[in-house]
Amino acid sequence: MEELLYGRELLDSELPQNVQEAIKEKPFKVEITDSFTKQAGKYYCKRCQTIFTPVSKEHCICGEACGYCRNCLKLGKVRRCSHFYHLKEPNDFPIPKKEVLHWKGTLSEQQEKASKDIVETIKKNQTRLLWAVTGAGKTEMLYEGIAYGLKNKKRIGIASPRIDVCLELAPRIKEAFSHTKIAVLYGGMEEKYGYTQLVIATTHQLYRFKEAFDVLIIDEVDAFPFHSNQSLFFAANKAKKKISSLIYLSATPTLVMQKQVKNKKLLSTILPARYHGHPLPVPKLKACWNWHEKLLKSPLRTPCGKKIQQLIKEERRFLIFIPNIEWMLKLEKKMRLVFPKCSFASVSAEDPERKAKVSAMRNKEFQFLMSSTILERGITFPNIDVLVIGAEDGIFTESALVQIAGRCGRAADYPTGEVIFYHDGKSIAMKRAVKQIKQMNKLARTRGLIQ
Amino acid sequence: MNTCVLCNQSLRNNLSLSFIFSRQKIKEKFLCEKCRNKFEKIVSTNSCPGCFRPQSSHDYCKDCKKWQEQYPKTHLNHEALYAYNEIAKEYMDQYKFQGDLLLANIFSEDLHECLNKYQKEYLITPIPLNTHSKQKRGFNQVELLLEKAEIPYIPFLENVRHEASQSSKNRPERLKTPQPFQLINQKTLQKSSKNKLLIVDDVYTTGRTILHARLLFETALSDPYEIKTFSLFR
Repeated sequence: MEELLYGRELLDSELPQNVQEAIKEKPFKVEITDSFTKQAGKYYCKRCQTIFTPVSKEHCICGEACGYCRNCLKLGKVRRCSHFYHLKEPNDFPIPKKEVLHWKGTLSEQQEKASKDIVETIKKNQTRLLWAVTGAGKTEMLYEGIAYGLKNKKRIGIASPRIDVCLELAPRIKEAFSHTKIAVLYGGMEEKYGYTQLVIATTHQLYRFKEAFDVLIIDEVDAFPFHSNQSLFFAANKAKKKISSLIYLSATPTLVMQKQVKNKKLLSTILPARYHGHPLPVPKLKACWNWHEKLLKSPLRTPCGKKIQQLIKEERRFLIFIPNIEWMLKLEKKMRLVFPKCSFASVSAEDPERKAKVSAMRNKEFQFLMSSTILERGITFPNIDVLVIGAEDGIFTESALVQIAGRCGRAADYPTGEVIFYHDGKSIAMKRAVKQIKQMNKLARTRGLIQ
Repeated sequence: MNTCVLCNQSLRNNLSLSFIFSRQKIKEKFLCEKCRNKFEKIVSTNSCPGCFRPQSSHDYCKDCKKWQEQYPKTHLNHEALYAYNEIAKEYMDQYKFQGDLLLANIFSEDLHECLNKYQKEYLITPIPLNTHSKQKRGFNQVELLLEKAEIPYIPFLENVRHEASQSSKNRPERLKTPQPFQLINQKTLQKSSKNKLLIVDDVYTTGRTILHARLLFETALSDPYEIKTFSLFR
């Protein structure tokens, strides 16, 4: 039962019933600490490093002037008067007698090198960024490293800020390590937490760990939600052991990380080529002045509307990214009038039929899909073109634009495609995105990875 | 920078020049416009006169008719501010069950405006928690709403039941709940010159809880008292 607390940091309300009772009856050596750290007279949540919201003495269970943390409230309320329960991570794992990795695929040349870098990083307890372009095949490169960790009694965490990334990773890793027990943790999961050597979790779940992992891998590290960015990095640092390795994966690292790489403050492995050996499609920047009004008024007189008409005629399938949901719905209405015979749909984060529409696009029931920025990551359709309307909008950051362009030419059978950013004046993010893509292609060429 | 307490979007105070020169204090914002617009105010003409259920007609709804059969002497006259829709449910979950006390602030102006008119003539009393919930939560969500709205209240009720809360039960179970309340501060109640009473709760769901409170006062008070009930959500 103690193992449920190994490397964990939990409130008493988060403890399983039987652990709660066991602690009361026969106190096993559980470490109980305050719920806060005090810095310069201010109280910070020990779980997420956020300053407490004050509460008057009438409104807390302790009957004294208290406080609580709003940032990690959904994981259970941390009051200043609460306590955390923790047991040191003992790495109580058997050394596997048989081979743990059951993956039969082969790695490309650059994947092979990256895979070696990862094993090395784990051996030396370093921190490294694996900067791999969209469609480079990141997951496979982790397998050797994970296998090395499992054989050496290391506890391994694989985390991502995005729940869909976790849910996509889990079955692939479970298949590759089919004899290894794996816990998959996310908000709203149905399974109970169990002590396992390999853990796949959303970064939010890392709040509940303390010095647990010898190896921590964070996928899509650039996708941290802005408002809890700092506290999630804090959580990641708290979840790993003081001596451990940390591996960031990203196709579009933030400017801060790019600079750290440039200044040699962060070790990095860059994979500039896609697994199929074709260059990344470079976005074209085209002006579409006053698109807000003109596209709704007379779309066929705009460069963007003409392009849509042409693509429909040529029976190309494509995605259109749009910065504003309300405007997108207006455009959808207009498009139904202009192209009555064409089947298409629009999706946004608020759309309850989002999943159904995406799979309908995959089944080729739609010729094109209009989307807010939710489809920018993870979702791939073979043989498509990509248009962005209003690419200058602030919502399209450098990394969002690189991700969007990365939807194109993913499949080995259809490695090319057209990416066009329609704009009302180029933004810095647009220019940087194009530069980043070109740099990656150049690097791939000099390394001889693409023709 | 402040963020919306419900959706975490950053909040901007658009200050006009005239506002800056007016020397008014900046009101602290808690909710973004998008979230605020999701709360639906109930219009009294489009609701049941007994329980304020939002509906197209102004006739008694079928639930109120049942209550009238069960308690023919009671005059049902509930009032509510907002519909208990999706966002209201999320709000209550975060406020009451996760214990996010800061959320008590977002309706303070609305509640003040709505309840201030009762202050002169009415004694205002909140629905209490049972000891178990109070110990677990640390605060009474109805009292805190009234405090933030600057509406003075006097507790006249205590909840003496030690069982599961109403929100953990289904509808038939809720309707069967026996009287959970007892009167407290009875002397203050009897000495008061006011003979009108407003009972305040957070959510009116089946009406069972608030009706129990009303019935207790009706039987305990001999004088012709006028009793009204109110909830933030219906």
